[in-house]
Amino acid sequence: MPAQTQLLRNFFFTLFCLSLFSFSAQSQIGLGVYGGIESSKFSGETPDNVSFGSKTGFNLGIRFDLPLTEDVVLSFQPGYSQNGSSVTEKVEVESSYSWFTQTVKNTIEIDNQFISLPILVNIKMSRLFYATSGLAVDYLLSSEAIQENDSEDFKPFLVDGQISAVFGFGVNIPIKTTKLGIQLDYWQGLTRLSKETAEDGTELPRVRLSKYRLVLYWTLSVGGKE
Amino acid sequence: MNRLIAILFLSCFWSISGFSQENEEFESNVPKLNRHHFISNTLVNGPFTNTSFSQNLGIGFSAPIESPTVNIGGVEVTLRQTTLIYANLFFRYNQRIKDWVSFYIRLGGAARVGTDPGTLLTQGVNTMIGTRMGWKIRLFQTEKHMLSVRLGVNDIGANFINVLGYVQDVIDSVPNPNISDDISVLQGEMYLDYAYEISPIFGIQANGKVSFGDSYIPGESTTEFGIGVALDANLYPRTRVPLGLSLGLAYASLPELSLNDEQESLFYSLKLAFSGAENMLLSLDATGFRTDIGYGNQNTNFSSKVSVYSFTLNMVYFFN
Repeated sequence: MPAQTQLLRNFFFTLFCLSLFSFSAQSQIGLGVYGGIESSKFSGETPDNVSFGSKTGFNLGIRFDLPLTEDVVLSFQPGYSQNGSSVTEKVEVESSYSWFTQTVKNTIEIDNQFISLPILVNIKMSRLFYATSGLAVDYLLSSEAIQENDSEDFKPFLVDGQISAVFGFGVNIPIKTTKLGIQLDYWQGLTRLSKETAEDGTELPRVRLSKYRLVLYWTLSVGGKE
Repeated sequence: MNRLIAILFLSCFWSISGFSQENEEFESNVPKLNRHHFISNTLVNGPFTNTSFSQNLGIGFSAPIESPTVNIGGVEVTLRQTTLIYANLFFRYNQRIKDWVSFYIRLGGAARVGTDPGTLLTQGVNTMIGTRMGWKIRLFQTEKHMLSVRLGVNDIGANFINVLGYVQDVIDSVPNPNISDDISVLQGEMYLDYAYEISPIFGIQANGKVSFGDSYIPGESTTEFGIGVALDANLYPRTRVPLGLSLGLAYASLPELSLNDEQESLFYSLKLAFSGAENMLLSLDATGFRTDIGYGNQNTNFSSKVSVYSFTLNMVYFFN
């Protein structure tokens, strides 16, 4: 993992610990679970004959909401996510009739699995709605390139982790001592996901991962006063 | 014209001497500090967190370009050239979340094309489409001062069509020559935006920027800095003359205006605004800058500075 990513991971861990210690005992912590779907896609440098397409995946995890003030909540949402991208290459091949060529599209599906730690700040807009933003560190567990029935390990071409900026909003519906909510957010990869060079020394294009996430969550309010 | 000059002069005089009419307070959603309603500037963003929607539509022209001699396949060709046309269209929405924080998003694109075969050949067609989004957080505010920080990301997809480079590559039998290059640039950016009320008529806005991320040169990173300042005068709240002026100066890299890659240039702008509407500013912005233009590829290593003048129609509606 690059030193920059390692440094940020340590920063996030420290922030998490500090938040727990500085948390006011008068406030209620939200503890819960979430799950949802996401649509992700590579972006970045591509040759003229290559394009990236979306891939649908899912996510699930746990959620800690720590109120900092009446309107501001620090939300930790560690979880697992499966996402990726399709990579389509247009190739010109000679037709079997031999007097013309035809363009064939070869599509490879890249299937990634990540452990993510988003640290978000939720700002209450009204009683139900909130805006959210923050940073997320993703750790790549595995990556496969799948074409028709063949699959190949794609991880050697990718770095171990990436950092993303997160923007979104959500709806939070209180039900007795619990909260049910929906959050829609956009993750923009800030650091490159592709390595700079492959194992054989070939220079790799600069590629990032961005995604939209729709998450349904349920949290239980514990401790403090409402 | 004489009347306008007289009004401007008198306004300045009243402002400086402290003599003023006791007009009733101008109620408006246009951002203000104390009693000054600010005129927004294309080059310098204000620190205000109001919910607003704005639209910019601009067109610009370069000064005549000196004719280069380019080498195509070993033959020196002198091209007759005229000018370049610049165009841009941007939409921006700022949503206030709380008094002290807002979310912004800007979508849009810009293009630069030559006006004749010579400039099309040597300059090609450059286009950029981008999304900029982030948060504006108020750090400090008194009656007359306000300071905010903007944190966000700028995601740009640029396409550079290089006809001359392509022709040269074909002649040189370069395998798989490309006529266009797609470049994806992502930068994280931080701005400090500041505003100060000098008097009910005059205000000043300034900002500083640092951004870090991808360079327009594939595989490279870059750090950019920029500063800008704008002096504005809004006559309406005090004199009921529905006129606003803003004079801006910035030293920054603004590829959405220059269609150039990350070279800091000096930009200056003069804005004339209709400031009589309660929640809206309509304005015409004249912006000038000098930018570096190159020709073809490395085989035709030629570059030149050229002056560009652009005119932008702006509409900003403030919801609160």
